[in-house]
Amino acid sequence: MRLFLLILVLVSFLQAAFLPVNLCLIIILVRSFVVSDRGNYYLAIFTGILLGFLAGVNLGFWAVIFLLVVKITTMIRKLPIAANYWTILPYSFLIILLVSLLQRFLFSESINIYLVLIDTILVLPMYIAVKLWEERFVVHRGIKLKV
Amino acid sequence: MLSALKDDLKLFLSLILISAVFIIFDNFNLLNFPKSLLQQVTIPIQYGLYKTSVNIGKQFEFVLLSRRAAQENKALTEQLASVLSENSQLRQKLAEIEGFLEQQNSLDAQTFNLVPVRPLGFSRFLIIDKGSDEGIKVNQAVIFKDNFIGLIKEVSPKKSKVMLSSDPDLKISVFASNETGKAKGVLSGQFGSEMIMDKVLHQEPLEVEDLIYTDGQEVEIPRGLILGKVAEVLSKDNEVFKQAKVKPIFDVTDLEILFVVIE
Repeated sequence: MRLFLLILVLVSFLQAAFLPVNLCLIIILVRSFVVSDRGNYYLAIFTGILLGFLAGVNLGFWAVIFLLVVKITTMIRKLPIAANYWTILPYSFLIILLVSLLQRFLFSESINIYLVLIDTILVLPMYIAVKLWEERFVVHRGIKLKV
Repeated sequence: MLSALKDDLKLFLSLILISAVFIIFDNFNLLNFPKSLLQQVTIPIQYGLYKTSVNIGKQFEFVLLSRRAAQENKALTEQLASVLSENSQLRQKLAEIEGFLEQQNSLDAQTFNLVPVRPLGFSRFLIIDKGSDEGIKVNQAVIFKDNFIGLIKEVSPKKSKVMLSSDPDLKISVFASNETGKAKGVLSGQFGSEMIMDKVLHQEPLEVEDLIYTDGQEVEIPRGLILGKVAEVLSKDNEVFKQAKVKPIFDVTDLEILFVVIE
């Protein structure tokens, strides 16, 4: 989680400075899809406030968005359909599109559908990377059988 | 399981509440002071990142622009070569048309049957691009406007060789004309561009700058064609005849089109 925190801080700076893609949203979405723990909520609120601060928008806006994304993703990943990792593509497309729509209504930003598609395509390599990281490099508690 | 879900929901709701508090506080500008403090740290970082991204973007743009410029340069070079080639062809055609027009003014096309020919090469003989297929025969005269160029020496179906008036093997009866009278003689080449007018009687008037014309004693050569002008008169009292150095009026190699007198 520390690593994610570090990456998210860096990505927030990059996104606020010049990156057109919403990498923070993608990372939070993907991690919520791969890992189900409370850390996702903390990452979401922290990244949301930081991004709001750096991007010069209302501090709570991105925090609420990211928290909602984490909550919805946590619910989706419990469905049987989420076992297929291709599910993340249409799901993330919908989420990214919804966030773009929200941005449009709240900040009067026009929707760039190509950017939404690029964000969606970026989700897949990010998903593979996060899954690889979580499965291979993160130590989990051993499962103890009760005898 | 249920308690975990409840805890999860509680955490979610509490964080949403915190976010809502942030939204409200920020909306009423209550967080301006801590924000301005933090911005003193973050703005230089953001600015540095922004400038870096702009510089990197410029580098990529430069690479792309230089690649495009190289492609454009290549295309323009090809276009220029094509335009130059077209221009050269047009100039050649223009010169030919001008030659035709001037030739029509010089020799009457109804009296003389002329065949236009192009020079292909030049060594001792001038090679032209038409031969026996177009009715060209040996000893026919080659002219340009009112000027005599030479005689056809050899003929093949598609090409012919022209013996120029400067060739030593060519001997033509000529006359020079000026205000005081005429001087008759025989013109022969000397290799190179110079010719000699020989067998001119001493009493016949001959001066520098006099024009030399064909006499028309040869059947194939029309009378009155210009061969050149007198550059120097060589007269010795102890010799029966006097001579004159004759220079052609123009360089044969500069001509784009010539005409062969068929009939």
